[in-house]
Amino acid sequence: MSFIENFVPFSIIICLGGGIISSALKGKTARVFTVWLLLAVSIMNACVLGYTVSIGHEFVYVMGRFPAPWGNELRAGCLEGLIGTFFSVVMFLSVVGGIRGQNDDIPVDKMNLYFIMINLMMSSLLALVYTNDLFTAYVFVEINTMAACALIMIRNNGHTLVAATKYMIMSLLGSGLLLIGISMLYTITGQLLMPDIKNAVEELARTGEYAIPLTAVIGLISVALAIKSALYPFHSWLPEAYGYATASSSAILSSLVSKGYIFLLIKIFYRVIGMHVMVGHKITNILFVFGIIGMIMGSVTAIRQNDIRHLIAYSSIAQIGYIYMGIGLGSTAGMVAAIFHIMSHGATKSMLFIAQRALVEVSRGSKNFSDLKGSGFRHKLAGIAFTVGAFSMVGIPLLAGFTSKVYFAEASVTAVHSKMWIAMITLAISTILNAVYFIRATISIYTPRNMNYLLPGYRPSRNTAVALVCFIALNFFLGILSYPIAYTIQTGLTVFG
Amino acid sequence: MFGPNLVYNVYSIVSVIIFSVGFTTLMLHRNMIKKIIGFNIMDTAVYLFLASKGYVFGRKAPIIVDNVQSVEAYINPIPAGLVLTGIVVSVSVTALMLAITIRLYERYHTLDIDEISLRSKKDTPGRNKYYKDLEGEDNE
Repeated sequence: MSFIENFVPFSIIICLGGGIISSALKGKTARVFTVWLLLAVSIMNACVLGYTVSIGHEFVYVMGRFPAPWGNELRAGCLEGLIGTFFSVVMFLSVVGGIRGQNDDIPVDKMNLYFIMINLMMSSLLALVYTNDLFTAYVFVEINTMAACALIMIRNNGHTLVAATKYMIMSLLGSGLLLIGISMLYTITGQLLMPDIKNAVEELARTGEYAIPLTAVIGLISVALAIKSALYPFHSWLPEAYGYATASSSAILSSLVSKGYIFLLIKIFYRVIGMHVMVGHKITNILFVFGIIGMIMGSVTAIRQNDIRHLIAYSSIAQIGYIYMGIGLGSTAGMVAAIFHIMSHGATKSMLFIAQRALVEVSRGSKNFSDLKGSGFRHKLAGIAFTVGAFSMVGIPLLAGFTSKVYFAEASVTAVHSKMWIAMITLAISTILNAVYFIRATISIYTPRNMNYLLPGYRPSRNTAVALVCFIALNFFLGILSYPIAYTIQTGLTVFG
Repeated sequence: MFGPNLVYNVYSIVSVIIFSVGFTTLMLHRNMIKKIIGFNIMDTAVYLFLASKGYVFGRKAPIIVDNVQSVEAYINPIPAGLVLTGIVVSVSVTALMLAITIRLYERYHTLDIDEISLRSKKDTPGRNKYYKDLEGEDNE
């Protein structure tokens, strides 16, 4: 085996260890340490991606060299490598871009606690991406939930506290359903390792044994992960959580946390239950319907917002709807589109949150559009980044959002007739709705207004500038050079089985 | 439908009923403490489910004492391991929830989540230092 295979468990473990070390460091030192750690993890995951693409097949890492029922397994193919790299890079940029926000929002003596949670979050995300064992996935889902709750709560005001409570309650409902789903799946298959469960489920589907429990399991697990990733009717916690947490936390929550759960769901679709069994149980149709409703309702609510943060948050609900719509198409093309949208939305939404923070800074700290007028002139780079992000979400060519919309459209053309029409029409309506609020927001930040909103001696943060430039580059990269990425996703799904 | 299966699966049925009791309490109850209790009931139901599935009547715990090596003599230990892991998770989540509840109570002097929601809407938004110079006030 190659040396690079060790990077998979190592990147998870150093993040866990990094959390412990951060607890002993002083606030600023913990941040420097975490930032370098995240950079190292990004590089390691990129190596894993390069290695899996070059060998062309998956590899299984057996923890501690104990074979499966005793030990634990990690698995990496090119799709996991790609998503792992993407998650760590976005995490790195979100932390770097929000440094000034962290200084303002987090009490000095609690700074190191924040970075414990960042490290825990990173390790749980990577574990969700790479794990080959369903119960390990459950444990890391819980770790992820707790870290996310702390990330919301660290900015100490009433809103974040209430938001964190609502988030926890919703998440716990999801976790309970996931736990009983996994337990039932274990009792009907007798396995916890993903490939073994898949064999057993195929056997069950062939013989027709335990048909009702299998349907229940599929429903429970899908609903659980849909609740956790804020699919439309379960989104009530989301606007407050994204609206009042510190900018880095909002960026991480919207672009990584919900996406981690969606990726786990896709993994369960392909590697645990098997895609044809899932489609056979019609669960994809249900996800499709809720995705469609989410696409419309998220955008309609976003139009009514007068607060830039809430606008971006409601737009996230619509984008989650897109992803579930892609999954709901029930075809490989739809899944490729959904995974591509996970990436393009992750890259765009985190950029919007970081840019928003810089714009708010130069507008007396107010998040209302009336105060944000002209902020694009006061902080030029953030204005450009916000515009790029808004255009990408609307679907202007050359940007990431456009490419994922093209993939969604292509996928819906090959779907069954009824779904094709619904998907195409909703895509069109939703694009128009997106344009209504994002173009309005962009025009609003470029409406000239006097410059004396700027505090004397205000200097834009250099870290934010670096992060924003990287995010803009990432957006154009995903928009223009999308083919190799889509190809990698396609190969990864084929390797999934 | 209500044949010998019902008797055979009595533990599963009971655990699913308890699960739904806990789930409903967590979802619908307005009192934070009762929500947390509901969550614990829900998780306990899952442990009952797992433990009952792992147990085989007439067999012993899988600890070899008098050199009986046969698999047939012992119950399945894996569900017990899952239950232990689940307990660890639920204890830490409960601790976190209780901590949040204490913070909420200190701030809003109530445990009713709807009331807390209402009061937090009236709370002034967290204003940061960029706001002070023009307004001349600090609301935090």
